[in-house]
Amino acid sequence: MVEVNKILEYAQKQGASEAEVIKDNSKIQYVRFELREPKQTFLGKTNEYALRVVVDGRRGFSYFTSNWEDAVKEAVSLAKSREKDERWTAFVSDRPTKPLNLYHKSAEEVSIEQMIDDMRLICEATEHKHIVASNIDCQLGLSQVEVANTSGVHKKEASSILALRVMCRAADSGYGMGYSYGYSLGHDLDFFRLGEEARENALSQLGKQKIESGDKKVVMAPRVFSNLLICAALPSFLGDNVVEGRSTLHIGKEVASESFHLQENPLVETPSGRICDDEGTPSQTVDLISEKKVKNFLYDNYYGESTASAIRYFRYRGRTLRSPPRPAATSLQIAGNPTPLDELISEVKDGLLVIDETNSHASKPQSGLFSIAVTSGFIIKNGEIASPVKRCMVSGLAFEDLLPNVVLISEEKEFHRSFVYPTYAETGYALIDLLRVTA
Amino acid sequence: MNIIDEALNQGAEYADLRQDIKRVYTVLRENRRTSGSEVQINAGFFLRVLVNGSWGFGMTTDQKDLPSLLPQVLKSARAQKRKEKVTVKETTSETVKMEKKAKKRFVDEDKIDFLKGVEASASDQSDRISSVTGSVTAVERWIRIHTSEERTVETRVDKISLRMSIACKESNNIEHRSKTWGGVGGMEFLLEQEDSVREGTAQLAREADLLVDAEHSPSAVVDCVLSNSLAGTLLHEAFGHAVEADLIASNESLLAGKIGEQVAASCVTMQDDPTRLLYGYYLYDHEGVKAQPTMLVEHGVLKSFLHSRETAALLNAPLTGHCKAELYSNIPIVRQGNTILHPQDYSFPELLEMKEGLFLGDSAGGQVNVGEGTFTFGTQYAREIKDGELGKYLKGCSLSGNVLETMKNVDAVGKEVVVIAAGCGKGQLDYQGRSMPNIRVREVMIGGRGK
Repeated sequence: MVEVNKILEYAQKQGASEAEVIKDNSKIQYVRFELREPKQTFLGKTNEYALRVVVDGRRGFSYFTSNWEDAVKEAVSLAKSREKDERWTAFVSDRPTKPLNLYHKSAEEVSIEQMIDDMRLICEATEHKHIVASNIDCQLGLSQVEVANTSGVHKKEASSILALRVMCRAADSGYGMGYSYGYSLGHDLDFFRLGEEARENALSQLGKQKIESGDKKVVMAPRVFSNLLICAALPSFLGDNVVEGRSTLHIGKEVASESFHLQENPLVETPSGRICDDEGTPSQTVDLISEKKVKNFLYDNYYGESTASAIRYFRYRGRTLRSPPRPAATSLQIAGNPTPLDELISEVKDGLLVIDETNSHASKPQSGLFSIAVTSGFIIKNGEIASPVKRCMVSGLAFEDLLPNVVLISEEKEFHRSFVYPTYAETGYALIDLLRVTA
Repeated sequence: MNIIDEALNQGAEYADLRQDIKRVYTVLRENRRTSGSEVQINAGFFLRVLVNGSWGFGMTTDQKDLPSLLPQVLKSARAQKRKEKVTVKETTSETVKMEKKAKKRFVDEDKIDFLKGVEASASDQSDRISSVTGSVTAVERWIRIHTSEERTVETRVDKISLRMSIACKESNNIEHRSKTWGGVGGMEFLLEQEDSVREGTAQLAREADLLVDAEHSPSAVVDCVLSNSLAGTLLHEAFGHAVEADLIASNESLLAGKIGEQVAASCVTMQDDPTRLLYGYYLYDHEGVKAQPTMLVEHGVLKSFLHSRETAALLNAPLTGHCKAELYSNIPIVRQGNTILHPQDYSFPELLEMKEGLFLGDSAGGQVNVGEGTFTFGTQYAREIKDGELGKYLKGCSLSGNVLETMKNVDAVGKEVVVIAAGCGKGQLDYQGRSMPNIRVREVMIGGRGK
């Protein structure tokens, strides 16, 4: 394992005028269960590095796990092979960060045997004559990250995470899928309850009925609403898209109803928290939408005045050191007029409750056009849940049909992680006034 | 003593070690400015042991960690205490070495001039272009797998791709088209088809411009002709995933137990062939097993699944060599290679023969729920079909359906085949190829925003 300062010094020796390195020393433990049996265990230990160098205003990047000297030379060589970038200024300078406790000792003490026992508890909870298949994925990660650059930044952050996904497939004359998810900094998930939740979600989808096509009031479960916000709306707030002509938004533009407030807030002691971004800029809260209007965009240090939103990620892969940082959100918080879910549903005479979906990830990030297939949900009649719904589709535009029509957001908040972007979101159920439903 | 011998000494029934180095080079240009010049060097070791009928996996970036990792991996496997014991299908003891390297390596060629030329082909196609993004990605992957069968497989395969994305904007209306070209080798692959890449990019710009003013696709159930790209997504998502035998083994796929049954229209004959020199090319998978062309559906009848060593043993099937990992750090899982839909005898105008319908353009990603047997995927654009003719452009939409119903509703397969470079994200990103004709499907559910 090589020290970050040594890498910076070596980069400068190779001709870099500036350099920035991020190092991640991680351990993971993973257990998968299928059909109520352990399927596999996985133990991993990695030392990863990502280096950005600047040579005469030209930038190069390398990600590496070994042979660090060659990787530094390669980054310098790549920088030299391109033209000067006039937009480039400099790496960020050092500013103090607010301390957050993102590393829970209880996570460190979890053995693989403990994880197997936890999964067996979930298996017990999922047992039912109509549950014909189940799988469980549980991953524990412990990470020590350092960010340093030649402008004096040297930040260290330790974090832990326990992430759980439970899937149940119910069958009688039809099928029903049910999921539950849990995220925690420590070993404090209610495993049995999460098993029960996936089981009940699957069983509740047996006996599906067809819904009529038309424009309907739609209640979206937190996971569905989060997915649409992250995939269809959020890209228009990212500084690279704003600057590169891939967003139609501008500050002050009306894009939402009064009932909707969107904020990026990484200063939280949850798995979505971080003390700084991947350039070392201290985290801050950023209002994105309030009082109907666009308030801010999210920037890294390259595209604008940094909002501490420089995140290294791949679309579909989540956070990773394998690419240079770009603007992204990690911790969205959605607020509205908090209302109990029952009241939300009672507002709907003829509509749809969407519990789960597919295809939000294929939303058009430029225009905000979405068209999702409802894989779990219920028909709502006269303010009450009537029956599970057969597959149908819900479509619209994020800034014309979805956000301007948010009527209420329920007080039953849930915390979800996108599987496309490196973003968590916390929201309640959302009642949307009229969206196109195809059946 | 090597780590595999040590694993056997300590009670493993089977073990393998994959040493994996994947270099990924990318140059990115946004709006005629080079904004990225990057390399990833993903290097590490992945160890698998099968002990007491349970899998234990371990991964490290440092070879020195392997001796201490082995006992932990064995212990974690033993802790599982499975009732149903896992076995693997073994293959021959041999030493194999193969390579398919770039003739013109990314690092030695001028990618930026190439990209500038491609960008230029778009610029005079519309005065509403708001964004042009182009990237060239080259992958050089070297893998050595050593197994307890005394089998050593060393492979090196290089691939390259170009992705062009163009957005046109007017006021609040922004539309976007993108396309990927990819294949085996290095820059020579892109240089050989520079003219068609430029024409394709100009077409993207023209279509993005048209889409700015286009109406939305309808919300309806209609007969459709699917573009080659979208037919590829349908076959891959709706059917390809459902024949991956890990999903059969976990009872998640609706095709479990259906070998020999009619699962698609008789015009559908589909195989997976990783040995074809398309974007999904490989000769040995990441368990060291030789890749086999595998007939999946013949005249609509389900013939086979795609297998790993474990699923082949469980289902008593031949090895097909379809188990792959994205990187050194990933568990190898069952994946598709190159999806081939056999062409039939319909010309494109014959496929369009319908009173009213939609032509669905290039794919915009998809997703399948194999347990429920349903799929959803997006198109970048659509076009009206009226009285057998292609009509106006419509904005993109999604389509959704039941896998078996939809595959039985394929009533015509075209005769002109297009080769497609695609990716798949079944938890891990994988490069896959497709060889696809257009197809016609009856009664497709379209979730457009229009009426």
